[in-house]
Amino acid sequence: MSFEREWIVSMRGIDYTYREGGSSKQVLFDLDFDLRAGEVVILQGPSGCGKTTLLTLIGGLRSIQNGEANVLGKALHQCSPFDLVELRRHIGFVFQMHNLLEYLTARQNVQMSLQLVEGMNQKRAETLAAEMLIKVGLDDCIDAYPKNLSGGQKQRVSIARALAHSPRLILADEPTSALDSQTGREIVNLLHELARKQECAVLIVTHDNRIVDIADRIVSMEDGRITKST
Amino acid sequence: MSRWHFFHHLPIAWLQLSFGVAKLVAAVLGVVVADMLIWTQLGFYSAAMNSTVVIHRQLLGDLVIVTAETQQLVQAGSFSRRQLIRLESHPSIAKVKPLYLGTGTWRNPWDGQSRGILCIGIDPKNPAAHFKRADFDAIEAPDCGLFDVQGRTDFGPVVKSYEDRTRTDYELNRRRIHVAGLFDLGSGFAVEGTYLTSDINFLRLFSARGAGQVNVGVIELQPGEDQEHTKATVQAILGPYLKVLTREEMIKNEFAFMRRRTPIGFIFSLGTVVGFFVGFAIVYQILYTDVSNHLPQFATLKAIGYTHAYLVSVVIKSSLILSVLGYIPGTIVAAGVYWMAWKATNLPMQMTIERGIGIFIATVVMCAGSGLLAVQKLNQADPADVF
Repeated sequence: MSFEREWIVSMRGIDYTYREGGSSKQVLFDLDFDLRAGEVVILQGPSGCGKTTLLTLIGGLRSIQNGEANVLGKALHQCSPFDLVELRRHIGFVFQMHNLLEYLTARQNVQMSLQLVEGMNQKRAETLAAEMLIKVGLDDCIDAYPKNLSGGQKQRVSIARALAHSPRLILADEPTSALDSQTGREIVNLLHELARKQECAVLIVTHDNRIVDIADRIVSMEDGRITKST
Repeated sequence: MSRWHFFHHLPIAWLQLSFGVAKLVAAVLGVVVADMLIWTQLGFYSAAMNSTVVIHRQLLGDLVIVTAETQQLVQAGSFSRRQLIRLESHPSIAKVKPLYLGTGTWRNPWDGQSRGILCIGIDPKNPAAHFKRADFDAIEAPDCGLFDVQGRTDFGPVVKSYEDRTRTDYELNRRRIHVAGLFDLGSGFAVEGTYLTSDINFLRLFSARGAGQVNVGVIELQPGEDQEHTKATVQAILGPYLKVLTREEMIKNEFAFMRRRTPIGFIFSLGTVVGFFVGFAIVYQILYTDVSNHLPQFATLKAIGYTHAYLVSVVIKSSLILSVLGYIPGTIVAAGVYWMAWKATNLPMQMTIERGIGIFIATVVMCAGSGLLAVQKLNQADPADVF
């Protein structure tokens, strides 16, 4: 890793407080976080330490309350909700529960992220989606519905969906938690390998200690603060 | 969201709607039932209304004279024929024709039961109205008349007996009459059967009334005469005990009377509204359940960069698909109901283009309205919750 590589994510002095009814709970405290292009970072920490909140802030799924956040060249603290939607189209998301649309085939699920790309037509999206599914090893399941796929296969579709539109940032939330250890390992290796090829930065939030070896850097959080970054 | 999205998108609404066949069928059936109800109610309503003006539509003339208190033509009071004769010399008027109306007692010789029948008396040489298939020569002979082919069978198999020539003599108002032919009036709620005869024969049947008493006067104007102007002139001549109306006014008054004085309007409007809300409730229920079941998936779409407006459009598209899928079979089923109703009651049930368009619009409103209500549920699709 060279320090000359550009910053994909740069966050300074981030606070975040959940407010519900009269009560409020602060989960992030004056937090700084950076991610460079092509870097694979694992974010670790006990439940409730704020790591998922941090992920959703980076992904433009929540608005910045306090502090400065720059993601993919956008100043999130100055963004309108509409700008955040636009930002999300340039990020690949991998969810804990694959979150595929049950009424779409594997290919159509991948098309859903492709068709948000400017200038994409449906024919090309179909071709690219099939190619992406072959890359994740689902040659035989391109037109299968999610209910006919195993947990590992669904997560592979989900990775194909996240990577198909060539994002420069992937955000993955506990991608292995619903899988057995071997499948989980395969999934993470696949994500790692494909992200490398596309020079895409990856941020994985996980509890899973068995996959930390793929990371360029491990960031640990506790009580809304970063405690260690290696 | 840029414009091309709407042209190069997967048809998510259709794919989602059609994913469960049972669900799609249930939703479509809901719309079918609603449309069928609406069609049927409006059909019966308009048939009921139109059946009250079948005679009005056959009148040969521009202006109609009835007694001032007359609200319905078949209940028209009688007045002196001299009033009509006075008008014959008026320069604006080409012809004045009397029409006699009364309810007679028809005895069904097969079961011995007596029933009320509308009797129409017309001067065959100067007919006030014309009816399909009516042969006015046949009614000139004493005690001869024509029987309405659409008359209810409660009067006996009169039409069939005439066609077979097995029976032509009947008893009407305790007088022996002779069915000399058939004509086509089109019966309805107001009239169950009609006997058409000459003015002279009519007065024989209703001997209690004075010979000079008519029920309706029909005026044919000279070509080029102004209808409104002559109407006012004639009204002035006749005085306050009689009223002069145009044929259209007479029809309008009849409808107004039906709406005001009978529950027809209320009953059928209620049926139509019930149909609408049945459809609304079913479609809403299906769409709402669909949105609720797919909430995490909708949230995922938001998370990967789809706008709320896009998701709303998916639900609205689903509702529009349902309205089209339900309208077509609903209309076909309604056509069957119309046909059966016409067979059973002889009511003039007609599927008009205007009603078809109106019901289609109502269907779209019904589906889109329930879609818009179901969309509220989408607000709960928070993309941050998918993590």
